[in-house]
Amino acid sequence: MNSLQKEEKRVAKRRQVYKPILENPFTNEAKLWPHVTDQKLVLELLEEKVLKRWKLLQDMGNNEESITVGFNEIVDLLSHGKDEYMLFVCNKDLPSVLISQLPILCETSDHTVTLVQLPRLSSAKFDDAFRDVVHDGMCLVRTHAHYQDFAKMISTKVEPLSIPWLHSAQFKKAPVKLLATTAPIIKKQGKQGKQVPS
Amino acid sequence: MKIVKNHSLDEVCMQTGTVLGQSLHRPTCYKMSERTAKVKENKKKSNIDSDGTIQIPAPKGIGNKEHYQRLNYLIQSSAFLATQIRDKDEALSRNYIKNMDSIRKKNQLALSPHMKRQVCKKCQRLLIAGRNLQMKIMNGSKKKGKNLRKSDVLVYQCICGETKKFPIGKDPTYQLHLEKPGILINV
Repeated sequence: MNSLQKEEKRVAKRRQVYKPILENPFTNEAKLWPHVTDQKLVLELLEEKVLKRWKLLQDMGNNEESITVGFNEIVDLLSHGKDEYMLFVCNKDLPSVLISQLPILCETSDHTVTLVQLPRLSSAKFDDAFRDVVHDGMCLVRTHAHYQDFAKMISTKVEPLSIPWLHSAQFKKAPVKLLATTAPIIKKQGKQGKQVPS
Repeated sequence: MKIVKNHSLDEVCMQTGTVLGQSLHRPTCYKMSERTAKVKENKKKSNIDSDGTIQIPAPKGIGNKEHYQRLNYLIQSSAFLATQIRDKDEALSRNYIKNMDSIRKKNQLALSPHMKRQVCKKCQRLLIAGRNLQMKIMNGSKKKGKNLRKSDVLVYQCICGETKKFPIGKDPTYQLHLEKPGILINV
């Protein structure tokens, strides 16, 4: 072993290791969230038709009953009753654990829900519109008379939600992947008490 | 002129090259010496990154693949039973998850955190929102002020009463290690 390799071994503290890991065959986030064809246009429409209206009504001292914001309120609403809704979620700005069950909830709910994912950093627009109201990066809009045209426009841009494993048995291959991580280098020590022959 | 014996081709060529000037061997000798230099350079190239980690290329295969396939089969069967056959106790579905867990422990196999989050540790139910799972953001902070959101905790409550808590307010930008780009490698 030349001196450079020796030196490298002395300096190195960890080594790269690859661990096999079984991914969940059902939680592929890219497929869970329905594809939106023109996300920027959808965001602009949302801003014009919903967020500005909310802001205006708040300034006037009225509440908009068709719009629900906040995780707890939305989950409660989707768990009971039967109606038509659109759910806008800034899924790229939120922790994955918070949004992982949302598509499943929309699918299992008795309501008809159009799930719409918004582009990155769109939660800033929510902050601006809702101000002090806790919104958790999501907004549920009931598609009643005032929002019917808006709902039609949105539905042309968004693919329908489909989670096949909730409705049929379709076996998928084992999604085994390698996880790149590091492990410490433990230097071997000689056995204690063993005499080295001279 | 000296007769060179038991020497490598490179050495001979180098010698003849210096003595004879433009010899017949010279172009090939030049190539050979260049090649050896390249090999030496590659050997000398460091495979340690700035953090002091020895970089090793990823293996092409995975050991114990059969066990992983078995786990995959069990979780998919369990999901089918939980969603299609709406049994109140979900006994068979839970039993499959229990089997999966014991196989995983026995063979020291790793599951992704997404998968572990979807299973109740107490009753081994597959957690499905709207059926056997209730979700809520709770805040137990007694303080009042701007930083109230920091103590937000997402609570998953299974139908059996067991809860899982995730402190989402602590670091909203938190990512799992495997969610970082370039960490998961397809085989």
